[in-house]
Amino acid sequence: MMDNHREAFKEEAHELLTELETALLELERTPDDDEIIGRVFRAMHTIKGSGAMFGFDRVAAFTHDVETVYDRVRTGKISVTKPLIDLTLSACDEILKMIDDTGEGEAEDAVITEAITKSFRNMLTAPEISSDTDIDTAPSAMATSNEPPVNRNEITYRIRFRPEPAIFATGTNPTLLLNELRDLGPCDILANTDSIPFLSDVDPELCYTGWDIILTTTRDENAIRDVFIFVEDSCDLHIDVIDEGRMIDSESDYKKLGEILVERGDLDADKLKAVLDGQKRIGSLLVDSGIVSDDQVQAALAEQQHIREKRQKRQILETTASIRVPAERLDNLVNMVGELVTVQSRLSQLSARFNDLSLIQVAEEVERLTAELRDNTMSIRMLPIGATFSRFERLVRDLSMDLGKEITLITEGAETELDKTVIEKLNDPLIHLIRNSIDHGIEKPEVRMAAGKPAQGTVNLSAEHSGASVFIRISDDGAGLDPEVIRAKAVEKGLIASDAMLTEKEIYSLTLMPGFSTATTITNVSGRGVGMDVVKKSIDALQGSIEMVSKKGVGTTITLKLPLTMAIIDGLLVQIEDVLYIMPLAAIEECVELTREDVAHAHGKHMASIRGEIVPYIRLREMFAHGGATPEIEQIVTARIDGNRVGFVVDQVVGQHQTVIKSMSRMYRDIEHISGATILGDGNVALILDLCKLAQQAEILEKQANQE
Amino acid sequence: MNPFEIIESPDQIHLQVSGDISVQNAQACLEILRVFQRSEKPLLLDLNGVTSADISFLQLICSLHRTCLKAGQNLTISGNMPDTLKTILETAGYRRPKACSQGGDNPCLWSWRDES
Amino acid sequence: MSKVIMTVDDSASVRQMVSFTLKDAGYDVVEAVDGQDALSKVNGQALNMVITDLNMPNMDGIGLIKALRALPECKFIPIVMLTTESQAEKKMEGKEAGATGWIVKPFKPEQLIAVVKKVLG
Repeated sequence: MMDNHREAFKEEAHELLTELETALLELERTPDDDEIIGRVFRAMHTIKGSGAMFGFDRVAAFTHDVETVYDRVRTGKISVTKPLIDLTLSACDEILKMIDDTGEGEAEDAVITEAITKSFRNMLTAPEISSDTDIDTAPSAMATSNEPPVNRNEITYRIRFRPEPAIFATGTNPTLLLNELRDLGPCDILANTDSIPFLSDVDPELCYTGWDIILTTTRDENAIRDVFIFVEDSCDLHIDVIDEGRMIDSESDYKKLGEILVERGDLDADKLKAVLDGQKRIGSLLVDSGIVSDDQVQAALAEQQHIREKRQKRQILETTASIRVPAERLDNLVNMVGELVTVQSRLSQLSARFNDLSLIQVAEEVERLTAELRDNTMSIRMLPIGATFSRFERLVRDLSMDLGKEITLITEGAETELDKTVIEKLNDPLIHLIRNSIDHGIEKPEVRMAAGKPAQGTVNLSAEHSGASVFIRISDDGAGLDPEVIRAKAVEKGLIASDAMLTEKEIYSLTLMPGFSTATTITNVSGRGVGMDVVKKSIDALQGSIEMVSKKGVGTTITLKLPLTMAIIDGLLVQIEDVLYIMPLAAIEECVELTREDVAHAHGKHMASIRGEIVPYIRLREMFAHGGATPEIEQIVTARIDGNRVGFVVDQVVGQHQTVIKSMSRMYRDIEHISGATILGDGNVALILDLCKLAQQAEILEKQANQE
Repeated sequence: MNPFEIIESPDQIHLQVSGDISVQNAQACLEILRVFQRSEKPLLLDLNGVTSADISFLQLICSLHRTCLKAGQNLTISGNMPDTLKTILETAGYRRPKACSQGGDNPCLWSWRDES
Repeated sequence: MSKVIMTVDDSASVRQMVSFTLKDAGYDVVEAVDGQDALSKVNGQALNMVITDLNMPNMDGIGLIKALRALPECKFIPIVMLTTESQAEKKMEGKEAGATGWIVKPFKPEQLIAVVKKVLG
């Protein structure tokens, strides 16, 4: 396509150059002939302009200097001389070559071109030229609108556009300008019709309308001015920034109506003050007193409304505004903070040993800063669980369609924050639990109707903080669990003895055991005999716990209790012989002494009376098969596990310790009651105990012992 | 085709506007509006046939409305506001929450209720 | 019905480029070589827009704009002039004569279409 135009241009250029030659020769004879000078200039001008248009950029660039010189000649600032004519003639030859561009002898041409250009430029810088030079600085209208600078911020502008009455006669349609503004961003546009006269006085070809526009855009003011570029001189245009899109105090509301009117110049401040004493709304008061017109008030109100909406939106946006950082970097940061915590505790230990006051002061300062740094770093890893929640909406919708059930998902506490790694690992268990609720829990609409429930079932998904834990609840208003059915099934599967005495809670927790599934028919949603035990495993891995509450016919609630973070925990450092262990502090209730006497009183039973309560305890020394002699006084650390108090007997409680959890290598993964390891301040390694698992294991060991 | 047509019946006068109305035929429009407004009967404006209109037309109808209000004449737009006109009014910023300065307590001629 | 735009320019290559670009964008195009030629072609033509060069023999762009604005059928149509960066004064003169806007030469086809869209909608 373009080639056609290029050919047409070439042809035209040849003609122009021939004419140019003739003109130049004539000019040599009559150097003062303005008309001929004009012809030369026009020819150069056309070659330059059209050349650029059809891709002859070299021609355009080269001709530019020639044209500039002839423009000076035209205005009498440079006189026509023989050298100028010679130079121009050789320039013509060069242009011709460039246009035909055979591709031969280009290097040689370039040298000549450069020499000619230089000569023309020398003429321009010659002293006889007056200094009002720059002809190229005139604004070029549309050429600038290609890639306008973009503000990241949304800025809100108040634009007042009052075209002059005769604007229609310049072929301008103001509506098109308004539409262009709309293309820049959301606009509130209100026409001001105050000056439209009565029929008897109206001139139908004049524009009586003005516009007040509130525009929110990421573009800058120039983009707005560009819209009005053709009418700049034939209108009254004011553009003010009224909101810069920055964070604002949530308390400070946008300006009052009166302020806006004063700022717009529609009203002066004194008059506003005089009117303000009344009781009515400011707008109607002002209109009633005839100070401002109704249109002006409405335009101002529109501004108020626009900004309020924008700010509201922005506040919502800002809460989710974020920087994306690769997770890896964050993990690195957490690791480094972990190391720092370790070093810091070593520093604390050392300073305590040296007992030097100034060193202790520094150590304390470092301790405080490290704790803050730790908390801040951890909070960076915290994410609202909402993103995970919202994924389930689709799941619920699709599943309920598949199963012919009507179910709504209600989520609460989407803003609750959890450690990123916890959230990631929570996804699958939650999907499973929701599936269970939909598949096993919620009944079909007809069954629900028959039971007097609404046809539409509800699954409620909520999250809330509680201390260092987060509770996530999945509850449904479905059929609920039937303890008898579960019990029967467990007996059938050989999970419990047929005469086992179990509380309702214990029965429910049977569903979490491997190989348990209550669904009578296997659907493609759930019920393949795996599931709840997998959920249990995942939650355990997160150091969390599961609790079920259910009522037949009313529904089931499953509560997951999860730690806020998994990377650093507060731990209790304990010692058996010369080995150190960490117990997660969250579960621990208290530490009491256990004397040989106490043990003797219990007649060989691992029971201690703590504040009148009999608490079973586990002797870790025995369990971990430590050698050596039992000290005179031991310590029982009591913890609450699955609602029961359990004691753990150790030699010594060393103290509280901020624990950076390091996962164990693959070799040790199978050791269930150790959840990880940590490096102590002095460089020693301590194992982190999983108290829950320990208690379970002790129970099994005890059972085995009893059976023997 | 004449874009402006006046139909007079014993109890009202009807002005039918149709086609593309712009500043190009604004003069003609004004003349017919003046004739229309001179009638003593209730004035009924039928804009259903309008396919396009520019600011000049909206101004003229505003002017007509103002003139009628001052003279105590009854001017109404017949039927529902046509969709084409709604778009034109919204684009031009003529749709407003309240009547204009001249409107007083009367509703703006250009008002309509959005269907939910 | 597609809109009709008249392009007036004494440079055949510019005319061809403008005409081609406009036709490609779905407009009907009438070509004229100078102001006089343009005026003679206005008669009986329902024009929606005129794009005219300023430097032309016989009748230049300014003269054409003035003449067009005097015609009832062209009183309110958009008229865009082709100017060069060094013609700031001419631009003002054109505006006073009743031009709607301008396009600075050299321009690319998309810039031409942008201006046409701007004034014609």
